[in-house]
Amino acid sequence: MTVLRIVGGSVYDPANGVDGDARDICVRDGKIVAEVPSDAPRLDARGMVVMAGGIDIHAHVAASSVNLARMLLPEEHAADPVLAPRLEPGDVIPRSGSGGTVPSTFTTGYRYAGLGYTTVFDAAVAPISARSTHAQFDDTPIVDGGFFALLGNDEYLLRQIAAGERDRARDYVAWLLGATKAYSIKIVNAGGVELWKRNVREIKSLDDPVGAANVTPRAILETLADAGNALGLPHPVHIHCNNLGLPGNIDITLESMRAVGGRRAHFTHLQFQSYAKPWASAAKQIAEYFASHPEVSGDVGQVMFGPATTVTADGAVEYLLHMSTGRKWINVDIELETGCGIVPYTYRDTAAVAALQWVVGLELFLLSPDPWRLVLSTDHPNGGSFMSYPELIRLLMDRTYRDDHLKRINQKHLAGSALADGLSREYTLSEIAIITRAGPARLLGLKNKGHLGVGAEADVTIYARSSNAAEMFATPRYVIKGGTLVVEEGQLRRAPQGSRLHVSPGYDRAVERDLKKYFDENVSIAFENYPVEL
Amino acid sequence: MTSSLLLAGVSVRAFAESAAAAGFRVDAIDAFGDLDLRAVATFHALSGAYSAKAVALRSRGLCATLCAYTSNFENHPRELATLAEDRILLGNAPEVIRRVRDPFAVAQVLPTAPPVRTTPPENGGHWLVKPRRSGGGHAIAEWQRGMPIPRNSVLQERVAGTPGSIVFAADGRSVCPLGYTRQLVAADFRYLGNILVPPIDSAITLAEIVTREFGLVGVNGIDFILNDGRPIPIEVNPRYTAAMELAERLYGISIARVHADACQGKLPDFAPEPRRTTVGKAIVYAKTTTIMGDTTSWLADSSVRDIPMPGSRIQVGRPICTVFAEARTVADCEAALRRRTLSTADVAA
Amino acid sequence: MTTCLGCGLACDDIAVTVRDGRIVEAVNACELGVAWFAQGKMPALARVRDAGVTVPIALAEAARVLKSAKRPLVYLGAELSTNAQREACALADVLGAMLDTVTPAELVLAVQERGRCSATLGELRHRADIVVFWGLDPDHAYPRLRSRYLPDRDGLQFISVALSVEAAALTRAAILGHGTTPLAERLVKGKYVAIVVDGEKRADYIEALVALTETLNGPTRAALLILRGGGNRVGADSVLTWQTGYPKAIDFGRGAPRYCPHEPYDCDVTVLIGSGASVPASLSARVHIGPRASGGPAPIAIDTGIAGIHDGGTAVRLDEIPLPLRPPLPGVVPETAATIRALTALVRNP
Repeated sequence: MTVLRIVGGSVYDPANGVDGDARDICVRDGKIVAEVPSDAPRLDARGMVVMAGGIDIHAHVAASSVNLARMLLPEEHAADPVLAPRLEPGDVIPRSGSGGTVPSTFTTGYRYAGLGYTTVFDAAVAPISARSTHAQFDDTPIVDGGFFALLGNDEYLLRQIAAGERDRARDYVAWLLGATKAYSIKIVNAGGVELWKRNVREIKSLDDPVGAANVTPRAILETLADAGNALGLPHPVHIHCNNLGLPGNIDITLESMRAVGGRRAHFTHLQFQSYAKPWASAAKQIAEYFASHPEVSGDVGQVMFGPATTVTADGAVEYLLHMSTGRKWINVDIELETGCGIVPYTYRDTAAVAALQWVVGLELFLLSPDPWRLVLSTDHPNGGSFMSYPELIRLLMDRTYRDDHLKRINQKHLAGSALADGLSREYTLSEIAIITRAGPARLLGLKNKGHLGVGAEADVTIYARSSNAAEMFATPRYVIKGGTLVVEEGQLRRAPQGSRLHVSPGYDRAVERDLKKYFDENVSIAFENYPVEL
Repeated sequence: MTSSLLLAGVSVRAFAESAAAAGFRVDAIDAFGDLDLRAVATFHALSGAYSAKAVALRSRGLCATLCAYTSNFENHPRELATLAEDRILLGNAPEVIRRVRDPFAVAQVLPTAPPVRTTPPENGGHWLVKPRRSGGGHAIAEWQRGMPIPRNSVLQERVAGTPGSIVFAADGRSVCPLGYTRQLVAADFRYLGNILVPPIDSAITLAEIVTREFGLVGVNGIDFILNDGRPIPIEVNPRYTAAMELAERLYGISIARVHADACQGKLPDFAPEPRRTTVGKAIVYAKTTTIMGDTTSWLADSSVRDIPMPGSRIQVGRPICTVFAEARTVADCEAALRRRTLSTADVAA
Repeated sequence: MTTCLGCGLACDDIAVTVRDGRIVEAVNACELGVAWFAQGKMPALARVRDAGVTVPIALAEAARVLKSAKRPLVYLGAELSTNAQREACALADVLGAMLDTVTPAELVLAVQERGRCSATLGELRHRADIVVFWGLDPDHAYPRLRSRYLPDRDGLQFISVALSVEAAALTRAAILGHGTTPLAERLVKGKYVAIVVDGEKRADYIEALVALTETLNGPTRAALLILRGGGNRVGADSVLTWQTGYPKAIDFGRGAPRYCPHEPYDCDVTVLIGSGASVPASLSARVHIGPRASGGPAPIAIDTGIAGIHDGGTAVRLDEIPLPLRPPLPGVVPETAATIRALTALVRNP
């Protein structure tokens, strides 16, 4: 429908200072507008909570590595077969699928929309397989999608760093983002994936040499953070630090933040990066750093008890996980740029380390000085499925529920933890709106999303109030995407195609000549075939 | 590819000749099983009297891929559906013929068509009573006040003038004319024959309207009465008609190929233009009950068709065969046909 | 420049010359590729039994047959673009049909069971110092594997072994410290070992080689390169996986995809999409939509194009790298993806 008035809902629009006021939201032609005629169709939202559509800043849903994970898990799919939704009759064909921790693409789109999410980013795509990501997004209905291109171990980039060619590095980044139609720069384990390919599994410091002496994780972080900021990218750089998951990694995490200090930089799934030795929470240190460094942002990467699938470009971590758990393992070394590792995993609250991880994530949320800059994620599916977001929201809003759960988990590594000592903070609805919508939109530079002001895209989620936040957030009553009512009375009714969000920063065309030579000598596909057409 | 085609109707000889010449492999079921039909097609005889139902049942074992029909399958949509089961129907589908054979639907769509009604008119006027399932002019009569109107019949206002027809190809939306005729009709409204005439203004409009309204495909015909130069439409025949083989003879087009193509959306690049001569055909009816002699020699004579089997018995008043004539004018052609029918009837006897 | 789908290497550096609507030259193509491109000239017919008909008539007939089928099977042959594979999956979903491909089941099952350590071709070219051809003479079925992707280089050793599954297990045991084999001794000394096997001919070896490669990633780094045949077979694996969760042997009969790699088909109507080559003879398709279908035995046949020669879109190389197709003869034959899409629309609407 092209015109709609959402009547009398309690609007939570923190970007515009609206905190639960009952007011109308007007929609016309896919946008929020100031007014619509009095005879416009109405949606009665009185007594309900109205927010902008959810934005997932970090998930793994459409990379070719994700598809390998899908292939690896037939037993999960068999336990969660998903019938096609009953959409209204029309040209869009409703599609069946499979669930589990890595659902098939149609199911992914339907389920995100069913949760009230309208924008999702795939956090880690190997540029050489960007074409596959776009195809998977084409088959992920409703949500707008975009991805971050992996550059932190890129051979051409490393060569520019070795040669001191920072400008050329920046032009390369711009070319690559435009060619692959990516949204931002992703760094995973800077230098570490290249070392993993040489069978070196640990980064001791940011100054470890990766091949040439001046190519270090620090140089990579600086070069890419500089490039992202100089290019004016809406989301300059998205960083998965070295030594993910290893005890004591808080040091290298903070060191990484300092290395790019002064520039806008986003540190992802910080929970996995916030461990003190031997096994303890260092969430407080992160909170302190955030308080005094306004340019840094992050997402938590909360672990949720239950099944997960680790899918990451951090091959060394996955190798370790496979060796320690014995579970099946996929590793792919992707030429000249990155790699991927996949190991299915289960977080059990009886396991000491998993219990600590759960606590660290919650501490990050509850100690966070600024919800605008530390937003919600589970690093789906690494820490848990996106379907567990409502449960996570409940843990943040309901102290009693949280403390109850805390009592039942393995306490071994929890001595001295802030949460164990007692954190009374409860997130308000407004703060939930910030960490799931308004905050991600701002961090991603999406000016017309994450809020309900005039001019915003009409992505709106309407929840029925409930004292149980998990119930409330699990089943929105209405979801509007781009002005189309996709969920009505809790049922998915329409599944329009979403858009692709991507950037095309300018660059010096001279870099292409050098790249053609590089491709001819080193890459197994033709230079002409690298760029993607949408 | 040699496509297998099943043809069914009261008489399929003409269509079968066209189809065989166009390269189809023809299976035929009709009421006659004439000698010349068997020369170009595999004939499948009915065990009893001809009826659409008997034909539909007989068709069941045959594995021809395509099928097409002639008169009077357009009056039997259910039997047509059976005929077309597991085959590709080249022609108007049962749903289409149901509508186009409803004289009220046609009268609504063609504003110049004479009125039809099922109850006696208040005022006078001249009316014909005709069965809804009409064909070949059979069982049509002038209606007199007081005559009962049989249950499956209608009254149609009689139009004065010269009977004629237009035959055309249609692709569901547009039409291509294939020929215009003057019809030869007996006093009792029985169909006798056709002669090709030059194009008649505004007859093509009738074809365009019914094609668009009913979605006609393939070859079709519209019978009309030419009244003061205007064609008044009285019947739509949504299938191959007897006049069409004249167009094939005079203009050299393959009606079967045109029909198959039109059913699949392609109209021919063709227009019927006057030639130095014209052609006509007429049915020869038996003056007395006749036992045919050796008719095989007739096969070589292209001016005789629908040749009865040697030794077959033809009741008085039943058709013996069809004769053709070619002449410079329509009047000459008509005269030639009269002479020919009389002499052929005599010869047969 | 054009991508050749003559084998799974999907070389994308082929310069094709077209003259008078025919491909007359394919520079850089190996002899397999040249033969593959020689298929430029194609029939563009549609047939129902013995009758030549238009595509819409044939589609209507196919839709009629499929709608009344109790247990249809949609089978993907090779030579399909990923777009055509996506449309075929949608068709199977709408029909509630079985859906399967030419990918050997053992190949898929081995990876689902154990995982897999692999690398893309460029990585091997860059890094491998030992390449083991396991029961394979690549020059025969993959002529450019060596010349384009594994050219001779200082320090690069090639080892050709004609060994069994048992030998793979023994070598793995040796690497783990139980016993010795000469092969194990050589391999652990490498910096990056590539084991290359033909996944089409030796699918039964895959599980043992996956285990061996995995174990080698400890003492050293190693990757298993599974070679696949031409015509974008890996594309079918990828597309079906992302759309359903499973790469093959899918039953939509209960409304949601169900994985059934061990079950015989038991289907009453089969739609074959893509090339009829490499398809089991017992398949007996009732409907065939694909290259040269009209010349084959299926009662309802519609000729469509070959991905990469006539049909555009994307294909996936054997190491899962997606590549664009730039067909030199677009438009001479109906596009497969569009034809399947039209069939699905007919099946959906009464």
